[in-house]
Amino acid sequence: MKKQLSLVLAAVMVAASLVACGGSSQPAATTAAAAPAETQAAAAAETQAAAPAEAAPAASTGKTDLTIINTVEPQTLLPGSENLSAGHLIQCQLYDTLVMETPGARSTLVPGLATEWEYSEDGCTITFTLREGVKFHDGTEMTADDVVFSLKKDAEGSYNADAAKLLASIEKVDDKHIAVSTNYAYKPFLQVLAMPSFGIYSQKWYEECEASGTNMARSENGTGAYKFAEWQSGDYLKLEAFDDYWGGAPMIKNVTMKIMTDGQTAALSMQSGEADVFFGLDSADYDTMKATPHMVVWDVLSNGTHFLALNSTDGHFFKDNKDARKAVQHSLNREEINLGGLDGTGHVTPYPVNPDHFGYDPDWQPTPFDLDKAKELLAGTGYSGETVIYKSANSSWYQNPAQVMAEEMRKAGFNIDLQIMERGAWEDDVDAKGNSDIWNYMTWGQFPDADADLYIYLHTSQRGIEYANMIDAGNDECDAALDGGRYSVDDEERFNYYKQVADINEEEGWYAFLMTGCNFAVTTDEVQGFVPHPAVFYHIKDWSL
Amino acid sequence: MSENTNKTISDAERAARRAKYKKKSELAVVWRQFKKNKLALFGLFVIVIMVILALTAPLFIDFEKDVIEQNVMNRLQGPSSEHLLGTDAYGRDILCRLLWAARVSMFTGFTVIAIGIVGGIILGATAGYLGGVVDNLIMRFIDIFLAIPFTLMAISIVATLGNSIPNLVLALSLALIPKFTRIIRSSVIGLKGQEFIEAAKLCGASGPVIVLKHIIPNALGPIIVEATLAVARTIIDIAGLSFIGLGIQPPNPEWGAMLSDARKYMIQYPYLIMSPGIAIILTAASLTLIGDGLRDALDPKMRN
Amino acid sequence: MAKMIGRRLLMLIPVLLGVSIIIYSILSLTPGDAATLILGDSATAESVAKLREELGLNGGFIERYVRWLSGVLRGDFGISYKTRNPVFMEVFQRFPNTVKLAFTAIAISSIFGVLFGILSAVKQYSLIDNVVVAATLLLSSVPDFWLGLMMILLFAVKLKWLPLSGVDHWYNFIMPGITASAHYLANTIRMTRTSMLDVIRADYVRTARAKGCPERTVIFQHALRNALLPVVTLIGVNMGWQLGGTVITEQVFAIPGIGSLMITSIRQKDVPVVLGALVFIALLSSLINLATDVLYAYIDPRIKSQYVKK
Repeated sequence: MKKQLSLVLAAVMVAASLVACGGSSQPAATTAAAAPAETQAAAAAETQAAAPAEAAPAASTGKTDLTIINTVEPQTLLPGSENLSAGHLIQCQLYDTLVMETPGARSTLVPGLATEWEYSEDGCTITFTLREGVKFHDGTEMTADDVVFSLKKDAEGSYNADAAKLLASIEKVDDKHIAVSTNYAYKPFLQVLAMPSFGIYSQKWYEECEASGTNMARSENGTGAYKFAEWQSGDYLKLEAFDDYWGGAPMIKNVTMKIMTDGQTAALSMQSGEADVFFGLDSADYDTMKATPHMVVWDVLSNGTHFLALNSTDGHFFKDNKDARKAVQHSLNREEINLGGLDGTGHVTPYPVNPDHFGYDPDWQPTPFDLDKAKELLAGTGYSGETVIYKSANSSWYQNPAQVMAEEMRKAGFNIDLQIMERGAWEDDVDAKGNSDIWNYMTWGQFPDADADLYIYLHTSQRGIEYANMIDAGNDECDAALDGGRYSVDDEERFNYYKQVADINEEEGWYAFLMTGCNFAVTTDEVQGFVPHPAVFYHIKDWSL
Repeated sequence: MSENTNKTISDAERAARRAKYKKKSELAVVWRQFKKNKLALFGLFVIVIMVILALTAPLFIDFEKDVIEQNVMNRLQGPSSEHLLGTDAYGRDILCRLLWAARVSMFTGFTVIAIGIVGGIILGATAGYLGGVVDNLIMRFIDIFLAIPFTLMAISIVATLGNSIPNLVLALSLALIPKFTRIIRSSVIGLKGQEFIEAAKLCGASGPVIVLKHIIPNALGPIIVEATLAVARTIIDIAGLSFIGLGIQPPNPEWGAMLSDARKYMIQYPYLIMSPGIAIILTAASLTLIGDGLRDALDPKMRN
Repeated sequence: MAKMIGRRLLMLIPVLLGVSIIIYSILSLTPGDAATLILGDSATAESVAKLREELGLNGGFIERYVRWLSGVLRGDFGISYKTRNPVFMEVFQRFPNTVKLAFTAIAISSIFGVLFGILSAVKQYSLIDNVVVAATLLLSSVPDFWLGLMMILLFAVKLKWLPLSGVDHWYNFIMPGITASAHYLANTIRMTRTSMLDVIRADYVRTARAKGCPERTVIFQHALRNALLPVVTLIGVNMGWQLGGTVITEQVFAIPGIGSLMITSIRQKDVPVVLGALVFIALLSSLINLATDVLYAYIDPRIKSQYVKK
């Protein structure tokens, strides 16, 4: 059932991204509804029928206060600098973006602060028509200058660093229009501008904060449906409804996000009825939560795919050792990794692209699990029991699958030295410096596209760059496919390019893509209008109690 | 974690008083006293069994096959004839892991105490015997460590240096050294003025000799009592550190880590949380009983 | 006496310096960097460099420490890397919660500890004594987080008598208070019991009994006062420890106190916050210890004379 669900979900996303790309004229033909899309269209219909059955909506309670429990605390309110989903969730409430994702179909973009948009002939410039009469939280009216200013500032933010490389210019055309240009026609670009990290705020507010030294991480002046009220570090964050919201005042008036860093305590708190919504359910609590009356558990596939990286850089075990990499591939039993590592709540997704993102192929098959073959391959390399260092970060999300994989490789004959490290130290030592023979992590494509998932990990230009290709993956053929995917605007072509990338990676054995976990959301059965979102970009204005 | 300065003073007094008794029969007297305490005997019995099991575990358990080899498809099984205590989230036999963990827990517990005592003897005896500037310097240094709450100190060390048995041992013994230094120092100060020490001095014995041959043996009573209790504490503290994710490296088993892993499944699979919990409580309680028994047995007042 | 207090206060300076140097070194000389941790995976080398510059992470190891110290001497504890709020504010926002928790725990362990300790000493070898001793043994052997979780399961999830989280009402602190006090309660009971038994057997109590004083008078007038002397010290020491030792309880009950602030800050390498909070806790617990010693000296003339001799 779960596997089916994953396929269906993936299908919805792919189909959606193929069919609907932006609200107005596109240079490229959108006729690319290739083979995968057709079969998926049927599947999509299936989910839509199945979805409402998940949570039979109860009668409205008329409550206007909503409490959310989150296991992670946001870092900052300022768009562009936040990299935690907890922060994005808050930013979604405080700020609007030019275009917005449709709940349930990420790639279908609908008007936000821009009512219309138009592509130039070469596909490099998008001209946005701005919505009129939009008010900031301080009551002033939004102008084209504010939009240009905040987009520019957003692009300077650390979270938007990759997107910023694409941007050529952001300009005011007139009082009603602005133009955003990219260096080349980039298909998913509009999707980038729909991220909360490209939120719009008041220029005056920003400049005043700068002048007075006000902490911008803890104040805001956006146009969103909610205003920032209070933030007690480590305790809670409060928002209140903005009655002058251009889309009409939201039904839920007060939102409190409680921070509970211990997942177990958070889950128990949710079970004892202390909140309406809970983000951060541990997979171990899944069954218990599902069995609790009035709780609805949403299996939201996360936008990151778990992978195992085999380090081929100088001084590491897998350098010039393709057979050993293949041996690792054969030693991995993904069903088992999912079961032991994610309590069976994830979905086995061996394809490098996240199932929620453009470019996913649900039919692709990985190197099969074959322990004997693994042993044979390893023996063929002349391996004599050298220690293979496997460092993993200490959150259960990474550490649990690591324990299973280390054991699987041990069974294949590798002498694995598994070291679980504190997350911070791990990021510094492994993620940034690559000081390990093996490690496991997740892709973190910022926007739902294969390019965002794969380029940094597999392109040779990304070798040796912190957090990117730290294992010397990639070759000319792979680069060509990645570049093809990046610079093409044809969906079928792009889809095939990424299939090539997947095949090359599997043949070379650089990374083994494993599974996709769930960013579970738990709501009480009173919460209505909740539609699962993989990246936690929820808009509370659409909910009611 | 807590300690009590007054008790140490009175322990020192007791030790001093005891020094007047004949030393040879001391052990026999203590044992005779200890034997009367049925609870303490029970504690000793439990600990002896545990130590024997821990030491002999490799004879009937294969670390690779029984302790760390996973069988994920067979996970979270309830107790059965094949797995007497069931299996954990990776399908490993809990009984085998529990027994093996006894080795880890006991080893860690005793190493920590050993380091704590040795460190405490060196610092405490030096400070107490030499007095003056040295005493002041050492005690202020100790104050620094006492001023940092133990848990936070341990977290800083383990979180930054990484999870491993040596780092855990380091963190936990750093917390114990100040405690033992204080106990030993006050014992030494209490004994320093005694006649037999003066006599030894007159006989020309050097400082270290006096400390090692005459003072330490006489101060051993309170040290052993404290040490027994501290092993119990250490085992619980390791569990606490495991709880906040700072335990030992998997796949090695350790009671605290097993407990904190099991807590995730505690509602659905309560048997998982029972066995390591009981192991910790039983061991800690037994050690406490022994410690209490020893304290009473060493106390001359209890002997009438 | 005043001289003794003055000396002890002066001694605090090197102690606090030592505390800050040790923790600063541990945090600075090990892997992990605040800027990269804050920015996460999406960070580029340029943005990390920019943030490092902003946070003042660029200087050398000693240079940064000296900069921090000179700030502290001017009363400026710096700015949190993560929240960009002044450290002072971060610490004081959370401090009341820790204090409430610590005092609840101290109150529970002192009141019930002394009560049950006396009860079980006076009725030595009775059923009550046996139950108290057994309970004490259990309390001191149970890992505290386990105790907390069991209470949550029973009282918050099953019976719904008490809320699991929150810090706004006194009843929010019942379960955390019990959890945090468990080991101290056990210690206090043991201490009171032992010390009470010691005193009951002491000569002057025997004399009082022999003179025909009623048992009540013997216990309350003669025995109790002397028996409680060591207990006072224990409570004082406990209080110092409690302030920094509630980390695990705070974690279990999601209490935003100093302990949880320290854990997240250590993990985030938010050095100014860790240093600020730690120095603050060290100062406070040292002051409490000093106060306990002074109080103790006043209660027990023997100790007072010791100080006078010096």
